[in-house]
Amino acid sequence: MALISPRTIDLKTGHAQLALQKHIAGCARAIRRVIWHMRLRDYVIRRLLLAIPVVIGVLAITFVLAYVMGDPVGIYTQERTSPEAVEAIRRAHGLDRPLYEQFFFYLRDLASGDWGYSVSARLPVTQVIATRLPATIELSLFAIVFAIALGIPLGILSATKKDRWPDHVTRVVALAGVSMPIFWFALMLKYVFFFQFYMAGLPALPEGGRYTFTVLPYTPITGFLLIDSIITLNPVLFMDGLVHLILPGFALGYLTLAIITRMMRSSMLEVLKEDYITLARSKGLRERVVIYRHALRNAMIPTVTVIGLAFGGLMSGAVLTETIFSWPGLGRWSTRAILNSDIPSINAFTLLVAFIFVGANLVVDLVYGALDPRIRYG
Amino acid sequence: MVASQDDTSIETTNDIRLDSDTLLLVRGLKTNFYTYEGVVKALDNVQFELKRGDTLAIVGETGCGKSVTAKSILRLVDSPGRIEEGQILFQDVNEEGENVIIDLLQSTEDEMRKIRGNKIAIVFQDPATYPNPVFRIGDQIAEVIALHQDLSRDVLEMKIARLEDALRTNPDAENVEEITTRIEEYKSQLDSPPPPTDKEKKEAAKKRTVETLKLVRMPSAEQTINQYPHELSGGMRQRALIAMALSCNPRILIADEATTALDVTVQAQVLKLLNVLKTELDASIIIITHDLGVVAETCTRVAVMYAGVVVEYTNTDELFSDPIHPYTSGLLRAIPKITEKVEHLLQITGTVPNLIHPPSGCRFHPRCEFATEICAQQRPPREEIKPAHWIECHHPQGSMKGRKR
Amino acid sequence: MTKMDTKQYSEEIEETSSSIKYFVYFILVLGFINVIAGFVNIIDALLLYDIGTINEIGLMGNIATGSIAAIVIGILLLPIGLGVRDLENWAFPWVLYANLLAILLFLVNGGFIVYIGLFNLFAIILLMTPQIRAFWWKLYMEDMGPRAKETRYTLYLIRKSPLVVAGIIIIAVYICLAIFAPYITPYGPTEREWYNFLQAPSPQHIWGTDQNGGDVFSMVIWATQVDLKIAISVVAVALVVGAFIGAAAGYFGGAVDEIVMRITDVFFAFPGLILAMAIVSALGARNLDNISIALMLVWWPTYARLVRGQVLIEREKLYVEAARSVGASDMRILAFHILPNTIQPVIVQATLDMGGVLLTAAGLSFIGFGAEAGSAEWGLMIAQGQNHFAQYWVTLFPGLAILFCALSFNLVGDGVRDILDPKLRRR
Repeated sequence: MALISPRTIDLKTGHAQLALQKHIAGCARAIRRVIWHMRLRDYVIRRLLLAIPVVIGVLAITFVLAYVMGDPVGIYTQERTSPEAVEAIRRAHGLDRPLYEQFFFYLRDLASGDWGYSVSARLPVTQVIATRLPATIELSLFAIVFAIALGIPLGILSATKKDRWPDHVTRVVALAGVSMPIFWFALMLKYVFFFQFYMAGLPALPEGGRYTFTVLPYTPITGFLLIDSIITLNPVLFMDGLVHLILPGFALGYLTLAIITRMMRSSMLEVLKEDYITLARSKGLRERVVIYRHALRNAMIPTVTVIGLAFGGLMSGAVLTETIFSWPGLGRWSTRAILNSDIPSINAFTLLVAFIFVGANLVVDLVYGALDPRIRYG
Repeated sequence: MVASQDDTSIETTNDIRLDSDTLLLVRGLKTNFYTYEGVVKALDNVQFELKRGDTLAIVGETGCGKSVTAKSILRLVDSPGRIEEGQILFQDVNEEGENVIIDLLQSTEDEMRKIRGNKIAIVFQDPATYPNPVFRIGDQIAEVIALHQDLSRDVLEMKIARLEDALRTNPDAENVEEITTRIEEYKSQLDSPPPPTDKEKKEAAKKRTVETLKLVRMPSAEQTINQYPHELSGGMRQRALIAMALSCNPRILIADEATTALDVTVQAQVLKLLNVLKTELDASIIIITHDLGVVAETCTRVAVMYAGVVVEYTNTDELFSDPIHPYTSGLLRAIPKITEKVEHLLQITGTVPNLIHPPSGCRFHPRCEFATEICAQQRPPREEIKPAHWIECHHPQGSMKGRKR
Repeated sequence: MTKMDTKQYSEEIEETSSSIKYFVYFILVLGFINVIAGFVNIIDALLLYDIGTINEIGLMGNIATGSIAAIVIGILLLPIGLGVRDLENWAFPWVLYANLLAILLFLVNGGFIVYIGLFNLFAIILLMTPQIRAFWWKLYMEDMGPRAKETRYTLYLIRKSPLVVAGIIIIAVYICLAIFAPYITPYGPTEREWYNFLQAPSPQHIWGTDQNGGDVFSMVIWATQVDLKIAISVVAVALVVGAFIGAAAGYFGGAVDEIVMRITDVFFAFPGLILAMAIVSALGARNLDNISIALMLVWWPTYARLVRGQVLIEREKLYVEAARSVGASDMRILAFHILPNTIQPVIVQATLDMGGVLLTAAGLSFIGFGAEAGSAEWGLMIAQGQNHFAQYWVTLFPGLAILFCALSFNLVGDGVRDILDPKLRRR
């Protein structure tokens, strides 16, 4: 009977380590955890269900846009193709079917991984995405991490020092951020830190690209340059990649930084007026504890929502930033596709970005649920 | 009849001796709010005291400065408000058991923090908005305890109890001897306990939280500590707020309209609870209310406020039997009596004045039926018109009617 | 004062009652003139379209701002005129509102109908003459008393906040630049000195020249017209359409609301610039008109959501209940009771969006969707200058122009939002 035989008493916890007791305690803990997860799971499922109509709508819109963009037959025909031949091609591709059937085919193709052929990149669209998506994600993540890491403290600083000089400086920085054309800002950064530094003989930041491809060899493994360089234990490549990230990352992140700072400031100011802050002060807590413990979590709730929405601005900005910094990502591909009227690429890009955006907002919803207990069980 | 010059002479001296049973003395308190329309003179020369074991009521209409008084005592007045002048003397007992007098308006912010929630605690009006929505009830109470209380002895006792418990249930464990020596060791440390770790402190605070919640008669206190404020009903939330205020055994508990937002039945329960707790914890209470029924039921002394001024301050019985200030008698007359049938409810004509441009002289004179010229020119001095009965009025009524100054 | 009082009041000044009779005649005739002018304007616009002066969009815009406005307002003037005859309190201010709206729309429309607007102006002048004013001004002011006080206080707060004042001044400067561009620019928008390309700033070209020899200063100022027009038209159309849809969704609720909100959800699933890119691609031709249409399609859901939310809040308020209990129709409640109370946040959002639209339009035009190469447009100018590192002025000045324009709208929008926020208002 190993289960009820005596063991030693633990000096720290005082638990007599009877196997049975331990077992029961373990079970109770597990059950409690399952219950918590069930509540959270319901919330997650609800959010996922709400995303379904949005995804269907997104597919419908991209389908309609692709349909309007032009008769797909044009790709396969030349001027002297006879009308009968055109008709045959149409029939072969199901283009003579009713619209809803074509929509169904569209969905079927997307699901089976046939996203069309990108004329501008001379590759299947899925392959282009596979090679270019990591670059865009790397850049966006760098930008958003930078924006959050700087934006939230700046917002708090601005709110707690309201109407004093740190507040004024922060507000000007944030206001400039939302008013600045991102492409112009990127060009100006390039002008100063690449061109002027280079002319002055200072260590200039690179003009563009992900790494110095003329000097360094790089074969993608995961596609994420920084991760790959760590896997291959290549510090030179890592530093090179990081240096290449600075300018585009900063240009891209500045807008998001400004949005986060403004939201953090205003929600912090609002929260600091709330009754529970008065209560926290009446407890005799230090002002620091009041702000960072009691106010911050409440103020984060609207800020997190805004971060989700700012992700859209980030994807838009990536199109512009990547073009300027010759970043081999999706954005640069999309502009080239547009200039070449490469319809499958434009369509795939729009769809993909919408999916990423919807996904980002789902993640935000989950964080929101974790921050605000009222939502979680609601 | 102590003359009023006596008062003014005290105000100028700095070293004050209070009666040993006076806990709090508020004198000449003046608080202003600086708004767009002008300076709102919310409190003007507010004066009252709180004796040990008393329940003091501060009554008055909405906007007469009751809550501002409460917040001023704890120096919690938010901008644009500012405490301009006055003294708030708090008689505390220090570690050696001696009485020390602290002027709350002169002490530093650090000293204030040690008093807030610890020596003087406040329960606010609205249980819906005052608890922080994103933290568990238990954590919010434990926070105060961990902040103000020395928990090292608690931690040690907890350890001893736990080991003894383990011994009792497992007398045949392998390391009984080791455990008993450890218990002895802990017991010898009880007088000078070692500083606990944060984790131990948290656990001890949690234990005390449950005890406090049981004290305020919270049903199923062990479950409640893991709940969020929105999961509790209004009455339970109010109890949690009271528990939060009581958790450090404060010397003074200020209940700022603590029962106004509650149902009448719950209100009665909470009031009863407050009175029971007062005797259990040996605290004094300041109840801020506009409800004279609450005053009659629970309080021993009353300060009647009108437009930022304490117009009458006396015992509850005295106030109800012999109201001397015209405003107080007006208020009492406005209460409908269950035994009499009346055509019209009596009321005091006019409304509460705008405190940006308060009436000159006595602030009540535009609404007062006995007002004469002097009322508009000169603010009446505060005087003790009967033993322990202070008023500010040129034309006292009630038993002192017709008395010439 | 009640209606009865007005009538008694008017009997005292009987000698002026003949003037009101002529005033009523004038309003009724004016309504007739407006309706006729509206129909004539349709014919006019169709002729212009026929000879190719304007395209389909121009035709629709012309009919919407000129003809329909004139006809609707003309018909509205009939009940207003009858109201004035019966000395109804509401009718007098409505003479003012309707005619002001008419004049505004006629000015936007341009063409001969502007001269019809002079009649409307005359109606307003008549309304303000002492004889007519005696009938309504005092009552109106009493009615508006609290609101006027609030407005005065808002204006006071605006005056007191230097950032908002700065924003308003910059916006005014931009508008002046757009209007007076022909008189202050030394060169035309497409004028080139091909032999003087990429010149550094000099007295002849104070901001230098671009790679085609265009004067940067002149082009930046000419571009103000183009970019402001895009921003204003996009926000105006998105606002009107979005507000209409949102109000309907919020007021009727149920299935309408559900469908509208799901549609806006889908639109919100796309980042603005990227959806606009796809729409412009679908529209085919790459020009500023298509950019405007794409941005309108992208922006309307913002207003639909905003107005819906506001309507949902207002719908529950007691005054709506009161209006319904006296038998007001749905349309009346929505138009006269709910919408005026939702206008403040919409205005703030519109101001902030002016900056956003400006930046997005410039971004689209930077990628290459905008006007044909070489025309004066800020985004395009930056795009064309981006490879000339040594000649910073080609990109710097158009960029600064966008920056300050967007900044001014953000300053005003931000400041006004804080001022109107009831939570922050009384301090």
